[in-house]
Amino acid sequence: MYGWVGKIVRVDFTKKKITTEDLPKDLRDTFIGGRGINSKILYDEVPPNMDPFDPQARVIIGAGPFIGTLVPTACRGTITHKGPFTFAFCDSNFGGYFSPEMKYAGFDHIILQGRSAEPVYLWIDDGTVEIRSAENIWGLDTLTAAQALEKELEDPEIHTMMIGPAGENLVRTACVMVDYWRAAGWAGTGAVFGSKNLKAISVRGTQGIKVADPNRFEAICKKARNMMLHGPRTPLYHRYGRLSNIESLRHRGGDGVENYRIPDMPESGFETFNSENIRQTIYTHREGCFNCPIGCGHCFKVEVDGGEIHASKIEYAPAGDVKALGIYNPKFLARWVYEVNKWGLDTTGTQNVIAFAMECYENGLITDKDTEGIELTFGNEEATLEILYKIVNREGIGDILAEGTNLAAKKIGKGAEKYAMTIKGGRLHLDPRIGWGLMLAHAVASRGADHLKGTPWIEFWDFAAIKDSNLGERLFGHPRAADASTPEGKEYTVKWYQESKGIIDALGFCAGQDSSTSFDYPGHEEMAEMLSALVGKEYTVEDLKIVGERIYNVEQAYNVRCGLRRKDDSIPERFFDKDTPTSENAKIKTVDRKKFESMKDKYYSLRGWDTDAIPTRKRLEELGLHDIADDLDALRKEHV
Amino acid sequence: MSESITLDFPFSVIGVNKPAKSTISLNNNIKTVEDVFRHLTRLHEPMKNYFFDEKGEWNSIFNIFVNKKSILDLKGEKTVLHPGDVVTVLFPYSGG
Repeated sequence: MYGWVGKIVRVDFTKKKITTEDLPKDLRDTFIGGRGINSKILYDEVPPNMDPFDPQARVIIGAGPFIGTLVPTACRGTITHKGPFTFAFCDSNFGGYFSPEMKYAGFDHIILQGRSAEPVYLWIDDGTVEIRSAENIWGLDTLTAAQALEKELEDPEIHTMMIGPAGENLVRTACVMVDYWRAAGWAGTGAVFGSKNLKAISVRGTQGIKVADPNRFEAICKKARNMMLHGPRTPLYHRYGRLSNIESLRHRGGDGVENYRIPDMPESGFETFNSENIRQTIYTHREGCFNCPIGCGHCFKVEVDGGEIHASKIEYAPAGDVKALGIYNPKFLARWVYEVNKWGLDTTGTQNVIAFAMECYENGLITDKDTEGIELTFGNEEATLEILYKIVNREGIGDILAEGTNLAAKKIGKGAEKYAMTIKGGRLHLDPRIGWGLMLAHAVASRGADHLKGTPWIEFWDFAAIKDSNLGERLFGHPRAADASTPEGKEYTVKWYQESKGIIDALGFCAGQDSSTSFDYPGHEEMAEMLSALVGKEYTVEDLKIVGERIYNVEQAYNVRCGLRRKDDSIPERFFDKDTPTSENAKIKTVDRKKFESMKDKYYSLRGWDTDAIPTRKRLEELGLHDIADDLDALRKEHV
Repeated sequence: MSESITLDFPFSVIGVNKPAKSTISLNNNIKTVEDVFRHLTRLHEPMKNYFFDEKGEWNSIFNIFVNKKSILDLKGEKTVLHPGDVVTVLFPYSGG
């Protein structure tokens, strides 16, 4: 077999049983790998009414066919499970070196199920899989525990994914840290690992990946690599990583300050909290993931307990998070990233619930008695860290906030829901008023409030629209498709970007370095050529697009079975309210609800879904998803 | 009133050793956004590919703002500048 290793390992922690299975050909043909196959396994094996922490709930780790090969950036793995705060489909994508090592060790996918009676870790060593006791590392932070595992396994070359105390304590926004400083952050995966008493997975592999046509493959990989090395964004990534989004978003009115109740960072804040000053204050050097010619990972120094520690890595996400907490201090940004990574928390999920609590506190829904004297106000750095530690350890009010924003809002009551900046339980990362397409992508994303599943970046490419006034029509078939200031045509761009991301995640490519973020980076043509040369079967761009559409429909169908409908595809009420302050720079001021709903109608129609966001039999059958069409028909009959 | 504009652009990103903010005098040859970058690319050759194509036509890969307004919503590269204007050069937003 070429490209794929061809094996799945299934680990049942309850039965202490490990089995290997062949990766079915039909799954490879219809979903390619990574996120695609993960999503179908979730659909098939996790009943929609199952609790995410149920012992029989699955966690699926997938590494697509590109991973571990010459394809530049081919390191992006996906972890999929039922979301502990969305209670529907959820996944998280991660970089680093774990996924290539997993394939070198002999597996395309790992399926975890059951619950161990005692803390364990999984050791995968060149095809051999063992469940081992984690007594010695349970309770340790992610950094200390990862070092301890390297020592125990006597191999500094192992690659490890690890939860911290937050995951052990079932904090619903807990993440899985990968190779010390990379995170599978979005989905609350750390809590699901914790529910299985699983502390870590370490992997070591020395096997290769077969290539069907080495000469053709090498040529196209070289081309893709050169496109990235000489791409116009590359110098920017080298200097700032993703931090330059601070300025880009500021010019769009997308600062998103203080839980999105204030649109713009104050000038005094921007004077210190800008990408150049953050670089000058905390930057040390760059690091890259496996086989990446870019290396956008910016490492930094952080002051802890009077000393200085070097750590990695700053993205835009935590910078946006710190702004949302009303803090504009580069040194605090470093401290925040260090702390959330160390304890195993997702930066944005944790920020989201703390910012929510701050707004509740400032409006009297949470009192000093609740916080045990912590003055939980926006901009208070000390209080932010104190509440973070309470969340990790589920102490006092931290026990409520550890449930994630939506569940915490329900427990607090008194109308606290209006301060929850979430969609389908997923945490908001951006002010959706910076573009109609971005807003639609957030609202309809399969895991909720998601800027990474289908944001049409092209609506921020003013430079391209200046050069080509026909851009939207030419690329997406609608004259206004690339224009952020109108809801018209956004169904085309969002569908295109959602499917593009599905393809990228199924293959294992990095979404930051493909043509959806810059015209000059590798696009669908290069992806199809690389895949064809790698696996020895010809793929066209159209073939890949169908796979992308199939993936999105499987995820939507799962959500429908979990009870999600059109009403859940929305944005926080705050943005429909004319009294909410808006930025002078924003393309959209108050969101017009009629226009928003009309945009959704057009999107569902283009997708071949009904007006309640349920995929139709016709479209599902066109995609070859007959089993899912039957399931949804049965669901319709139940509700007649 | 100053007869110059301020250009806010991290030059180091494209390998030009200049401070992030520069002052540029307006004159008969420098009146528009395009004129500013024609002037700059004459002074700093490495900048050329970021603003013009091989035929010398406008082909910026940056988003450009004048006083925080995108030139897409003004007159594009033909936007006329006035003394005291601030021209900001940014990459478009993407990723997380």
